Amino acid sequence: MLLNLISTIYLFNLINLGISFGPYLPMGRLDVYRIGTSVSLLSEINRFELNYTYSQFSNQFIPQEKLNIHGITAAYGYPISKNEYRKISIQVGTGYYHIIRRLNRNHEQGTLWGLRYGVKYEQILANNNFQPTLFTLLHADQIVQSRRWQNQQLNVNNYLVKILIGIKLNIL
Amino acid sequence: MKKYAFIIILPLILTTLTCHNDNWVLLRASSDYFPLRNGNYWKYQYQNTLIVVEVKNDTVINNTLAKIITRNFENEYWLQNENELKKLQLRYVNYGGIDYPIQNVFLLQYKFPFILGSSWSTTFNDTVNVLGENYVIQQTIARQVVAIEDINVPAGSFFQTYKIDFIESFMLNDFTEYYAGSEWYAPDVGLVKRVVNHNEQVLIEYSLQ
Repeated sequence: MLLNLISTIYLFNLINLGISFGPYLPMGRLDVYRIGTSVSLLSEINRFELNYTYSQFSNQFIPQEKLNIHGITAAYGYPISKNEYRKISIQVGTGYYHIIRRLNRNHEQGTLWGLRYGVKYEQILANNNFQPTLFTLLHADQIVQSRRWQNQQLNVNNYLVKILIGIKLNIL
Repeated sequence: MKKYAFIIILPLILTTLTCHNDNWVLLRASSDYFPLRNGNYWKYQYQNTLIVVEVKNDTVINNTLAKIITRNFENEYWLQNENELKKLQLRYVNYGGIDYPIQNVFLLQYKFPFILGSSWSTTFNDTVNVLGENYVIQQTIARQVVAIEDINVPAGSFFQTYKIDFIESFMLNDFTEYYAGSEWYAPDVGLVKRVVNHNEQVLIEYSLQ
């Protein structure tokens, strides 16, 4: 049903497609990992944005240990400042993160839900049909691990912050 | 259009906020399974005896900075860094009231980080001559991370513990010792249970700085 809804929205509206790169910073408990890199693909329709991000981190003490994160997020962006060439919006969304932890030939994996908070700055480069736009994104991903365990609710928050710079085009 | 976006995003956010992420891969990745900070102690019940393990202080032994850990007030020397933990193996033979060292070496006990399926082993072989008599020493230690389990012990309930199977053998001339069993390590707590040759050692109390 969700896929049908998304497809319908895509068919009847303008679609922007973009790609971006940037550093990804593990925070809090995850600070045993080095700053990683991430590549992100986005597709947006008006204020709605679908985003796929791949990122990899290495343990700063044991470089053979890698943490790979595949994230698919959906976010809603609310413009707080806008003119003909520029736009600044704040984003809130949710996502699905598939995490694979590897050490040599061994691995553990898991799938987690998380929340995304972001700020996006867009600069339109040319006012033609494709409307090429440079953008900068500051995203914070909050991945919450929780469970009811022996009548106690346990929560662990993991934060990942990334700064992405990219370009997008109108394709419809 | 804005309505559509809200229709999609709001239920997703609500689902995220209310659902339980019962997968702890990130917790395991970021936890310390050997919190060897000075002052930490663990008390275990082993058969009918109490074992008290306490982290004391750092010292230099064999030109190496090691940590003193007492086990029922007897000193052990451990060497910890980010990717391994070694223990000083000290053995003596006694002649006429004098102890002569036959083994004095740090041997690998654990390799970090723990991850399901990882394994490591170390072997020590040496021949030592003491007052004309030869001592042949062979020691092997092997461990493998075999499972992630939730367990209950008298000190409490621990989840996402790594179960590590081990085999340790020590041979001195014709004398042989053999140990096999499993250990359970809880995130940010350490050893909570150990089964050695079918005898159980369980955590009953602990204090971490």
